[in-house]
Amino acid sequence: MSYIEELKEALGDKVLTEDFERFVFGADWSPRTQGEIIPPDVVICPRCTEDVVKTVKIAYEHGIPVTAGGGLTGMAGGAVPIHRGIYIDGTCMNQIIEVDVDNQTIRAQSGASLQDLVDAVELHGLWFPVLPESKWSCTLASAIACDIDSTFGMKYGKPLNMVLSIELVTGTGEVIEVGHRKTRFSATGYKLKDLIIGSEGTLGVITAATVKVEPVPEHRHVDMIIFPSMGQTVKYLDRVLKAGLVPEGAHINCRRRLKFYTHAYKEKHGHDPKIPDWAGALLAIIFAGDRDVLDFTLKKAYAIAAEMKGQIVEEREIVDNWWISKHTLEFPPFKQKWPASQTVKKFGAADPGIPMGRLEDIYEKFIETAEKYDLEILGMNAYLEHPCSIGFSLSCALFVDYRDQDEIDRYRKYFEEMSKIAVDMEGTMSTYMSDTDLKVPYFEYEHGPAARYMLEIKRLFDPKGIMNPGKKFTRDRVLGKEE
Amino acid sequence: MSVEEHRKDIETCFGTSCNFCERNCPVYRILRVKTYTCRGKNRAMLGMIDGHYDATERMADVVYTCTLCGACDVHCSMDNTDGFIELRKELVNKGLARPEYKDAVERIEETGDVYGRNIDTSRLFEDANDGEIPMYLGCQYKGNKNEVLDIIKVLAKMGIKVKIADDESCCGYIAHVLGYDDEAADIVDKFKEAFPHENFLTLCPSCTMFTQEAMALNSVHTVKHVHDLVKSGKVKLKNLDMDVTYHDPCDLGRRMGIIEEPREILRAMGVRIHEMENHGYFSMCCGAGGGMLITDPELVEDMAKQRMKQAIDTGVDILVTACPTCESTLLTGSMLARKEYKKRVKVMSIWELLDEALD
Repeated sequence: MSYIEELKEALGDKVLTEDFERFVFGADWSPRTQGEIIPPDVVICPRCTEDVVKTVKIAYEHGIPVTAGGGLTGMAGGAVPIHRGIYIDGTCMNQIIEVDVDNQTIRAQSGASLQDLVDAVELHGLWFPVLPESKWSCTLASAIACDIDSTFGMKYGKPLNMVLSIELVTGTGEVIEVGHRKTRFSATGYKLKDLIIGSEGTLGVITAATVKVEPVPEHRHVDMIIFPSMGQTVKYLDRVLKAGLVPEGAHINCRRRLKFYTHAYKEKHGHDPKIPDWAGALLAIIFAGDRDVLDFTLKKAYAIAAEMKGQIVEEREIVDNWWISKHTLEFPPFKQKWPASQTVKKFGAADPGIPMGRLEDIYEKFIETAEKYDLEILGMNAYLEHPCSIGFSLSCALFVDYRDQDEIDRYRKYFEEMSKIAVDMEGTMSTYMSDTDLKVPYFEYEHGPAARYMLEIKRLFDPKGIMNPGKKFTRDRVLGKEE
Repeated sequence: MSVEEHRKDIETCFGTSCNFCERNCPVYRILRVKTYTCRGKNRAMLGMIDGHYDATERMADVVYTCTLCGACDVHCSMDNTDGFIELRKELVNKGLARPEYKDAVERIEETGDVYGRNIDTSRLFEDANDGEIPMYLGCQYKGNKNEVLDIIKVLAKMGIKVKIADDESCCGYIAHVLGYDDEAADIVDKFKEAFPHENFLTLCPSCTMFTQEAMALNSVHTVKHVHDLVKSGKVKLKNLDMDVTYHDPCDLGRRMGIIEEPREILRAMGVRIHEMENHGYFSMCCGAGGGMLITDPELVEDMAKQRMKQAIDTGVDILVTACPTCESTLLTGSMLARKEYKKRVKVMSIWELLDEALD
């Protein structure tokens, strides 16, 4: 019996095999041409952990690749089944398992969207603050698997800071729970839970997780402040922290990048908003809390801004439009910005990480590299993603023609080169997309001899190298067929 | 138009992949399989027009498992549902659509009625053919004599004297959305022959939209007409002092933007509206759109129950709507939701409330 027949026998109509059904799962949001859609050989729509166990056990038996995916909004192909085989559509498992109000935790199946988590706890005055722009479709498991960014990272951090426990189906089909139940931290054992965060499904399939939820702040205020340079913006944020203020979120936009968020303004007024000639960076900063505390915070934040040559953006329409794009997603009916802004070219970005003092340096390198490969520059964003500290995720973004294979190829060269540049700057190749197959060539360059330990960990969880093969390591490397 | 002519939108969907269309898709919220989403169907079309595979019966089943409610379009900036109708046409031409759809269209061609009934509107409404304003009832209403007579009475109280056609025939909307374009054209011809009016009132949102968009006729949904009278102060309404939720029919609200009008009528009657999670442009379909009642009544019931759960969550006891299809579908949904959630929400038409407010 073929493995697909075995899957059908075990899972019935949860197995999709028609060409058009498989084609749906062959690409995410990463820049690629239509010719580069890679359909899996079979799609599984599991409803429970047991369905995933059955799937992985059959895959293990036959040595078939297994790629699990969520909303398929990834920007680097993390859930694209590049070795085909079995695709597990995690979104079919979206049940909320437990809301524990007293202990401020929620446990959900892997495919619950991040917005589903928020919806499940909002009645209790709680929220799950790891919320990117794709929160409606990004799933809990995908967020964990890539250790994604959040709009509110400067206060709450990333999944690494919010996840308490993970249920994982390993590469042999065994179910393990890693983490520390509902406690915030633990000093026992090895931190296997942290190993799973950012592992991209290469160690197993995440089927459920318990995360912290936090009290919803009473009031929130979003501002934009113009600074002469990105470096000055970093100094401002450092000063804000020193003063004892804690922003919920802070996003530094280079001058060029602002345009991407002012699409609605441009549509309405027929021109871009006016930005002073001296402006080198635009900081979007979010504070939240009780009214009196927030008022005091804003007064202090404005005073520091004035001291440091920052100018508050008075045109609220610009700020409000940015906030709609970034968080509320309350676009006017039939005018959601993403499709309208990507009819010809699409957003594509490298996501290097660099130390806090190197922002201007990486910006220069970003422009230089994009120009070298003749790519249209959208701009750079630095998202503050470390709680109460200066730590960036970078989005060095371009507009890429996804119908032009040559341009896509140049984009990938740019992507690779940016990875190397980040490591050379004492940084890291990736901050929120994870490695996927795109960063494999520089994996050893960043990790050195530690890469061998990582490989052994991979082999422990996934002895046959079937879990999302080709990501982080080539499949042959895992199977010992290449050095 | 053809699927190929939607290529740019289909490719843009591939290039964007935002997935926002999934959030309020009434089908996806129940089935949880991505192929049924707008992005899923767009991508399925992409592979087909790029020559990776041909359409299949299974693809047809997926494409017809859609209420065409436009919940995907409202979270997008493209006309996705137009593309789905084009795909349905191709599936019909390839003989892949289920035979039940063809049977339904043939019934309409033979009888001029979606349900295949031979209804003589001249006899049924013989006391209502001497008014001044022509009114088109549509298939949902024309077999429902008592309800229509009640509506006519309500309108008369407001000074609106309507005239029902002698031999009303289906407008062709259903044949169009099922992808039977040639047959729809014949049905439209019969409609025009039986109902030769340029300016008229309607009761069904889908008939209103189709007669406007496909035939460029000046049809006005009666709720809009009544709203104008209420707004101008020509009609005085009693204070009913009630709490209700209002269900926006997809074609009336999302498609034609008639969202505030029914609410303003309700408020003019002293009715307090408690909005459901999905309302206005972002309303959720009752489940009966797109021809789904023909082949998948169970899924329609699940969708109706899903919608009624939102009504239950508002805490009120009454849901009001302004579409005969939504009304009957949600009635079933209300019974199913009552069993599951142990709470009954009564489904009423806006005409019932107006009747009370005009005594």
